[in-house]
Amino acid sequence: MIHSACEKNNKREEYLVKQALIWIFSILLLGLSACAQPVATQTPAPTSPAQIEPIAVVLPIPTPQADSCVDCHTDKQSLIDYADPEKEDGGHGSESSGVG
Amino acid sequence: VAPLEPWEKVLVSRDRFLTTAHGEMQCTYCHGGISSAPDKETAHTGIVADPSGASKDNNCATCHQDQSEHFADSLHSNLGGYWTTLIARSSPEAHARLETMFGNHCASCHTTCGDCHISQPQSVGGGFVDGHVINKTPSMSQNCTACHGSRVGNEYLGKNEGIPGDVHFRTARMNCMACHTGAEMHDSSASCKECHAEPVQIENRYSGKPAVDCDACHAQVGKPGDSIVQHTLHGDTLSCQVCHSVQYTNCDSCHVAISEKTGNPFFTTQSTYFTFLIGKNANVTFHRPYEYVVVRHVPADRDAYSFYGADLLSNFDAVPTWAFATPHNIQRKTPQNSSCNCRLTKNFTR
Repeated sequence: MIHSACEKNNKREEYLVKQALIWIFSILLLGLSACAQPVATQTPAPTSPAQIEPIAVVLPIPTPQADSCVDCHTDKQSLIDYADPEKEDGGHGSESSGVG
Repeated sequence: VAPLEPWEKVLVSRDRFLTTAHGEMQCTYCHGGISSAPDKETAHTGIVADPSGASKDNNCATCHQDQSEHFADSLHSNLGGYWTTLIARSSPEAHARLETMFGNHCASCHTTCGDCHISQPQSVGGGFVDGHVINKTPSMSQNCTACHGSRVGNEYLGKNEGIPGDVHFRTARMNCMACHTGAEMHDSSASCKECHAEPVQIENRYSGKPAVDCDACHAQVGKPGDSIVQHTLHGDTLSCQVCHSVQYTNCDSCHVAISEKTGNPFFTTQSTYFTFLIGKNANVTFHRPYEYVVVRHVPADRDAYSFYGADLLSNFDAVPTWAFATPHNIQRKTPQNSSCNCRLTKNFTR
């Protein structure tokens, strides 16, 4: 019985010490934050569209690649002009007779 | 097919082709050559006129892998049906000379991607169908019947005098693609894969399951409730064409040679005539169990390739010259089905 009464008292003391420490820490924290200097944050001044200076950007102009394939094969006259002369017997199997 | 002028064959449409996805690519990407060259000869250095050959690695396959994967093995690409017959009718000693013959006379019918989707086939002179526009669906007249014209095309379109065109064309204006799908064109064994996990060897166009199945549309035929009793009576005994086809083209005795004058290959077919004959099915299979079918005379001849050597077809009789046929001139009413006396008609032969 005596042993358990002592154990109870010890626990109570321990509890009170913990509470005291928490209070001291909280007071210190509040004090320090109150002393801190406010940090000045710069907010950008609003700018109106009229204030923006236009910047001249020089983009590379795509140089059209010479494509003689397209140029010639889309032009009827070029194809006629550059066509190989037709062979005498250009037809495939022109000597054929009967139903194929 | 009307022949195209030389310039017309290679005129690219600025408005229609260059505005397409394919038209945004550099010509040289597919065709090679030198696009910045100052003259025609230099520009055409190393050029490939048809870069869409039947290879899994051709330019088309870069994007169209599904369509290209099996195309090299398709009958349109390898003409395998011809080799099935040539091998059956010959001995191995003749194969080398037959290969030379095949290269000179048959190979021009090889089909590439471009032969169906860009140009007319080379066998009819080539040339763009529509200014190099790559058509998803081939032109019936400038692609399909450009090759399959003298028999299938003329029968289907009713161009044989006195013989009506196919009912599917006359009444419904169905084109080739209505029955023959892209899957069939790109892969001859496509229908086999519906059931077979393992690859199936395709010997000719009548191998395996019919790619065009009449039942697909005429599902009621021969089924309970079918009001036409003959459908049930004849069932698997007669092919559909036995009752629903009319006279069609037959040919005799084709010979091939190389011209002494021009060096060009040519052929001579002895005769062409119309007839309608029913014969015993020489090749009864699971998918074609018919006892009787329509037969067409093919232009085969024992001496067809004598230009390349004597007796190259030493086993000529191994394959019938009256072959299983599926004439493309289907009619609802025909002389055969006009009465129940079909068996008495003079065209019935055993």
